[in-house]
Amino acid sequence: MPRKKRLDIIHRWEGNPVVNLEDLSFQALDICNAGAVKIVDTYLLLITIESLMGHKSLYVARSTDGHYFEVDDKPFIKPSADKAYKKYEEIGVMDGRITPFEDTYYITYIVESNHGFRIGLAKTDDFEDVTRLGLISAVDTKGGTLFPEKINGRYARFERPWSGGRIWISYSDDLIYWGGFEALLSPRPGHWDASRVGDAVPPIRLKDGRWLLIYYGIKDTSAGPLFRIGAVFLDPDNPARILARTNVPILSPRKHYERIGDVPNLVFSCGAILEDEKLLLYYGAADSCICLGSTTIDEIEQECVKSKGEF
Amino acid sequence: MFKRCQKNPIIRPADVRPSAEGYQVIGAFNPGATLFNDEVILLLRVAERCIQEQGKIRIPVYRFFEGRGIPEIKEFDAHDPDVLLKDTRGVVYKGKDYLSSISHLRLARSVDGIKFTVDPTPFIYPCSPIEAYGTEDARIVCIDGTFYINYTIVSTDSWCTALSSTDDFKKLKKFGIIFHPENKDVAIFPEKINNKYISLHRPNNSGFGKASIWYAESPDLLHWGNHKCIARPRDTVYESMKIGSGSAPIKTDEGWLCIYHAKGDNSRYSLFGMLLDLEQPWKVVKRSTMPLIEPELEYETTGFFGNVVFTNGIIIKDGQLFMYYGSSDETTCLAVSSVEQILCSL
Repeated sequence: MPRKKRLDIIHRWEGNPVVNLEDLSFQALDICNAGAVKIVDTYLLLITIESLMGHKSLYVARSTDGHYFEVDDKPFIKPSADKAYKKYEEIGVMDGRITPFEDTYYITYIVESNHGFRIGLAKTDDFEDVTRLGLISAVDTKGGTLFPEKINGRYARFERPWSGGRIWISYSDDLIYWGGFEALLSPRPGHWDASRVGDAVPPIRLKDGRWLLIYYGIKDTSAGPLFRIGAVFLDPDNPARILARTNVPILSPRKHYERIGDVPNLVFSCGAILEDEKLLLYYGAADSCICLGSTTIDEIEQECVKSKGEF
Repeated sequence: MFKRCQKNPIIRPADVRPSAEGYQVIGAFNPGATLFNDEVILLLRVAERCIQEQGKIRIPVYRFFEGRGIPEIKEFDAHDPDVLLKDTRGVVYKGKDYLSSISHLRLARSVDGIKFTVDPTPFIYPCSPIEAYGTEDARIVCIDGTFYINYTIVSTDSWCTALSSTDDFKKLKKFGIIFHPENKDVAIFPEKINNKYISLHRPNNSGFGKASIWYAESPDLLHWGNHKCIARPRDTVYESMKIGSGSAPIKTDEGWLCIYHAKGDNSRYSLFGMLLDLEQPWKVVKRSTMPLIEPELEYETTGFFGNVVFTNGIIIKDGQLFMYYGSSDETTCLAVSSVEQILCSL
């Protein structure tokens, strides 16, 4: 019997999806993606859910095993009524990403209004109360993944300005004022990530000191954009330096729940949890549900070894 | 309200020596301006293309070597099937974009503010791939004796804003990108307010309507935040496409005076005034309803890109407001007014 080929480097959980519309206690239009963190023995997701009116908010979901989640009834972060935020968040808040930092958790998220997309920053100690720290970009940028520690004494983040479709890095002394902008990762013509790339999961520090950045890559086709997921390893001391990049996606839309939904042929992640060598990737599928996949750092590494440059 | 200089255009492409053999200057426009050692200094945007020969297509390109850029010529055979002409702005060769003209920044000096001597060589020019398609539209602001120069850098990422400084207009210190793409029309205030540097900037907002004037603050001129949208284009023939800020705002008793450009119907550019609160410069106090100046004379209505008046260089000289402006993306002109007159008109 011929050996069965693996579909992807990320192995899907057979019980996928982890969260879909039927799991909610309220009606909603769709479920987009989730930030993820493990706090002691609790797996916590911050899920983007679109209301029936079409406005997105961020909801907390908790689980003891990482597979079966209870989603809160009320949003954790919703479009603000506060004057300073209202005009920039009126369409919605989305794509929450969680960065554990010392004793607290920073949440970066995207706000949408008729001004465009901006990056917002909030802080929580317990996922019960949340403090907004400000909108930390101008318009025309998405992504916004904060490093979980300072880089050479400064906070650092990735983001994806719309123009150029590339991932940029920038730095800050105080999380509010950002500078030192530098383009880091570009789309590769002719590849699966030919049209645009963007930062997906906040950078993860590996045991050997390197940084792992899981990113999304888009290829425009005559049937619309195809969203897939890839990975790069970055220099321990200078994360603006790429050490390795997967030539092939680590996850592609293949299953019916990834291919059929509000935005078809889409896998998109805002959160992963590293447990020893095992990486749990929570990803949104077709903007309709949250799924789980897993792999090891070694498996991603092997794919980079095969890649030999090309970044 | 503005009196145009009778000698307009005061600087034309023919007044500027090309930066490389085989290059040809096609624009000397949109200057930044300041006063330095009793002289008026302009920092011109100089656009150059290659002298063409039949059967060939020649494109200006910069080769980057040890942190410097060397202007060179890339030559294609006009009949090469891999060459795709992309309207008048450039060619695509084997999937790579080349622009038919590239801009650098060149100093010009004058005692009377009208008759200028243009430096023979560029002052700011592309030095890395992130500037490969040119450096454009400088703004100069003097803060505590140092001249800060911000300008648009153009590359395959489209455009963003970089900052440099100089004390003597000879040596240049570069600080890199201060606003990621797409962002241009950055006007830095000449002094700190509430202990922060302040700027106006103009991010694009792809897919979300018209580009607007934004406010930002900085502790050090390098890191910017607390962005706020302060003025959006109005639904008029003058502002129907977008607006963007010009030179450094001018401090007056009534507030910060800004002259901004508006792109309206048929891509026509005109200039408007806006007054910002002295203490809270994110608040617009007054804004003119009609243009301060709009393309009317022949040098403003015809040229490389006709029907454009654009300013990024204003100085106060002998009590008068000297507004240097680019006409039709080709020449440099001057119009004179006074702060009082402009304030009265708002």
